[in-house]
Parts: sequence; structure tokens; C-alpha cells
Amino acid sequence: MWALIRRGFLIAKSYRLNFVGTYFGGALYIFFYALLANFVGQQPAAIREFGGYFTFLLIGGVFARYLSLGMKFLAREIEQEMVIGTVEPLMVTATNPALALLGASAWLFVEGIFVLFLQLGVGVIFFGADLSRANWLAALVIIILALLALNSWGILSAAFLLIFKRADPLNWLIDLTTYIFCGVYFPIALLPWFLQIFSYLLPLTYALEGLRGALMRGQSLYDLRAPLFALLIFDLVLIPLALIAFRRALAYTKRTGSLGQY
Amino acid sequence: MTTAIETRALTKCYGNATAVQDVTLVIPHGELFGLFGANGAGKTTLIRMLTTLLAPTRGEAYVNSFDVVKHADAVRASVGMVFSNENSFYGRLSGRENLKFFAALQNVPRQNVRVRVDELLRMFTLDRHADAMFQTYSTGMRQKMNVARALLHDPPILFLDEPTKGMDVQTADAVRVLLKQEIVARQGKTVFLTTHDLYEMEHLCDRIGVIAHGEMRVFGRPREVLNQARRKPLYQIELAQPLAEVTKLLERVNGIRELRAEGARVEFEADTEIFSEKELWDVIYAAGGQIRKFGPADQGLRALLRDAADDEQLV
Repeated sequence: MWALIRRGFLIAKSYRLNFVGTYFGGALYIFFYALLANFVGQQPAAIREFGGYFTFLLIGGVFARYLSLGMKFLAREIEQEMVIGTVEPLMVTATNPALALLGASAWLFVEGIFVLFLQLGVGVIFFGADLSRANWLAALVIIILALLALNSWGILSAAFLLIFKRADPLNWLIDLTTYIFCGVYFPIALLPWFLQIFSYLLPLTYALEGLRGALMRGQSLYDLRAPLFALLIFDLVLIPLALIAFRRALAYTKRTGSLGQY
Repeated sequence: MTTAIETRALTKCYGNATAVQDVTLVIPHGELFGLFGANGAGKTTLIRMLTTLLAPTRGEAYVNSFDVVKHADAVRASVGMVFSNENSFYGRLSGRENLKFFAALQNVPRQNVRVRVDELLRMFTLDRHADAMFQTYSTGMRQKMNVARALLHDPPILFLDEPTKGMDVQTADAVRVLLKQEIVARQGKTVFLTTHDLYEMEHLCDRIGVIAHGEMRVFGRPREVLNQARRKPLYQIELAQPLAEVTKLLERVNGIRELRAEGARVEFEADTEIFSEKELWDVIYAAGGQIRKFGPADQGLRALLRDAADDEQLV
């Protein structure tokens, strides 16, 4: 895994403006959230009381970006390997083929942590985000459960890519669900009731609800049992589903000889 | 001597199309085996099944005594693979970094990685360019990287899909010497290579196989293959001067077929029951030609392989 992370870092480093773009761009998002928060007038008491709309936005935007990395990039990174022709050399190494393929995006998760802390830091230091009541342990548990659920979705997308050679048909869904239904920019209670049904079918909704509870209100794991339970259910369903789908997709490529095709 | 590679009726089908059919072969450890065939004959499909990249439809295959389906992990740890695509590296990483990355994936112990990578870079004379980005490498350098990568974990068995493709003459010779003298003779590794190069087939390989339409047509030592694939006698004429329309002229001679003319040299097959040398000489002299040399041609592997591979374009 270390070799996969290191390779991702070295490739990212080889692009001179890559780090400037990633980190500066990440920090700029926080400025955008601050502007947006400034323009929003009346805020519900539940938000105003626990750090305000900016903190709400900061947690929603920053964690939605990090947690959905796997959904967006697991398949994309495999697609890159297919295009440059390194999939087959990876698959004949002594490393487990699934790890060699899925590990292609390992660096993005490591870099994502740096960007996440940078964004939270900028939000707290320069724009007065209030995380003073944060329960970090509860937040960590939510993050782990959410990552498992959302990366399982990413693995499903990668399985789709191995068979159909394009991951795009699922990507539009990811962006749409992330920014409209999951409560990144506004509480889902503001959505019409029939759209809220979609929100509650998505793991990111529970992840953001739990993270806001842990970081804005300092809620304990017991207080957060409802979103934690929901995430656990998603994990129990999505993890085996994703692993079976990926294994079958790999077997399919071996049967059809389509591993190196894209 | 134990078996390095063994297949029994190994078959690969894609729907109704059969890419490899009932291939049975046994390659002992320490042998350099060459597989020859036209494009699409089934060479790469066979290699991909033996390296676990492709699942056989039926039949059995064992590499280093491990079943390629049931013990794919053990097979992958036992083999090094040189791909025909010499670009299968990360263009924005240096040659050294690429090799270090693949060494890690091949479970080369961390403390040995640097030494092993440096050793291979020197062996393939890539050390001067080791820290340049891979995307700046020439085709020959890329192909050397391809071979170096296959050797990183010191596997007992090497599969090489056209290993000298794109290399200049000196580099290709150096790789052949390395394969024959260092990898096979000194280190005792088994090499399974596919090639279009007849020199490699005849002078490099201990045994050869010719595959056509997915079937192994010929299999044995190069000399045995020569004896095995008996053809109609092949004759060669060398004229004092090139003769206009010599092909048309000689087609008139009874028993001559498969004529090939190049300058003053003509080769043809002859049906000995009706071919008469006297008739040939008469026709050439009547047309004003002079024969400098006449006799059976050295058939070598060229003609034999062309026949076995069913492909005129091949050799």
C-alpha cells in the first residue's frame, strides 16, 4: 500500500502546479462558503445556535468532498491505468490484483486528509468557524463508517468500469446526490417531502448529519445512534455487494480477455 | 528435471471463436522455449493464460507446478512477464522510480529494492538515464525497462512477448546474450518467449513451437523441427545476370511451383516426379540467361515455419 501511495505522490509531484491547485483551490472553497454564509440572511435557530451557517457549510462541503473521493475516483484511477497500459503489469505482480487496482487511488485519500485539515483550519482561523464543542472521537467513528459505505459505492463503480469500460453513467448520479440531496449546502428539511425520501436513501446524508452533530453540537456516539445505525446498515449491505461485484467483474475480464481494453 | 510449464489440452474460446485449442506442452526448468506464430495465431492468448491474466475455457495449465486457476497467486509470484506493449509504465515517473514501484508490488524486501533496481539498471545500461522521466525514453530503452521489470523479483520463469521488438541490432543482441547466457545458462531460469524473429527461433531457443489458428502445429528442437516438417524439395538458381520476366519464363517448366525471384536469385519448389533439370536449363539458355549456381536451397526454418504457421506474410 505504501508503494501505491508513494507512486501517487510522485506522479502528483511531477506536475508543477498540482499542489498549488489542490491546496490553494481547497482553501478558496472556504472563502466561497464564507461568502455564501454572509449572503444567507435568516438562519434556523438550530444552526445559528451551534456555530452558524458558515460552520454548517464548512462541515458539509469539506467532508462531502473527502468522503466522496472513493465514489468519484476509484473507478477513474483504474481507467487511467487502463489508458496508459499499466493494468496488466499490475495484475501479474505478487500483489493481490484487487488491491493493486483499487490502491491506484490510495494517494488521493492521503492527500484528501491534508486538504481536509487545511480547509477546516482556514475555516476556523480566518472565518471563525465554531468547532469548540466538537466530539472528535464520535466524528472519527462516523467518518470510518461513512468511508466504508461510500467507498463500497466507489468499488461498485469500478466493477461497472471493468465490465462496461466507462464509469461515467454513475458519476452524474454521484455529483447530483452529493450536492442536492445530502444536505451539503442546506438542511434536507428544506427539501420537499418527496425529495427527502431520496435523501434518506443515501449514506452521505447520515454521514453529514452525524458529523454536524459531533462537530457542531459535540454529540456523543449514543446521541448519534440513529445516523450511526443507518451507516452501519449501509455498510452491511454495500460492502459485501461491492466486494462480490468487483470479484465478479475481475473474473469477467479474465474470462473475456478484456482487462487491458478501455 | 522438474516441469516449469505444463499444459494439457489447454483451450480458450471467446463465444464461438477458438483462440487456443487443445494445446499440450511440457517445458522443463532451465529451457529457453520459443513460440512462433502469425498475428492472431494464439501466442499472446496462450501466454496470458499461463500468467493468470486470462482464464482458460477448458484444459489444465501448471506453472512452476502451480495450477494457473487454483493457485494464481503462487503462479504470479513465480513468473516475470515482458509485455509486448513497451509503454506500460508511468510516463511521469523516472525509470528508477518505476522499477522501485514494481519491485514493491513484487514483494522484493524493502532493504533489497535499491540494490536490485541499481543492478538491473546497470545490466541494461539504463543507469545513465535512470532518473529521467520514463516518457523521455526511446523505444529501445522502454523495451529494456520492460525486461528489467520482469526480472525484479528474480522469478524462476520468464514470459517474454516479443522481447526484442523495437530494439536496435546491438541492444537486441545484448538481450539475446543476456537471456541465453545469463538468465538461462547461468541462473537456470526457464524462458518462454514469443517472437517473429527467425534468428531468435533458430539460434536462441532450445525448443520451438509453431502455433497457427490456436493449434500447436510443430513442437521440438529447431533441428528436429527441420526434419519433422518435410516439404517438397526447394531449389535455388543463381543467374549470372538478372533475367527479364524470369518468373513467367520458369512457370512454363513442368513441376515448378512457388516461384520467388529476387534479382539474379530464384527459388522454387519442384515436384520431383515431373520436374526435369534439363528442361530448366534449356528454358533459361533459350532466353539468353546463364546459370552460375544451381542446387537445393537451404530450407532453414523460414519455409518450414511459414508452412506450419499458414501465413505467407509471416517470414
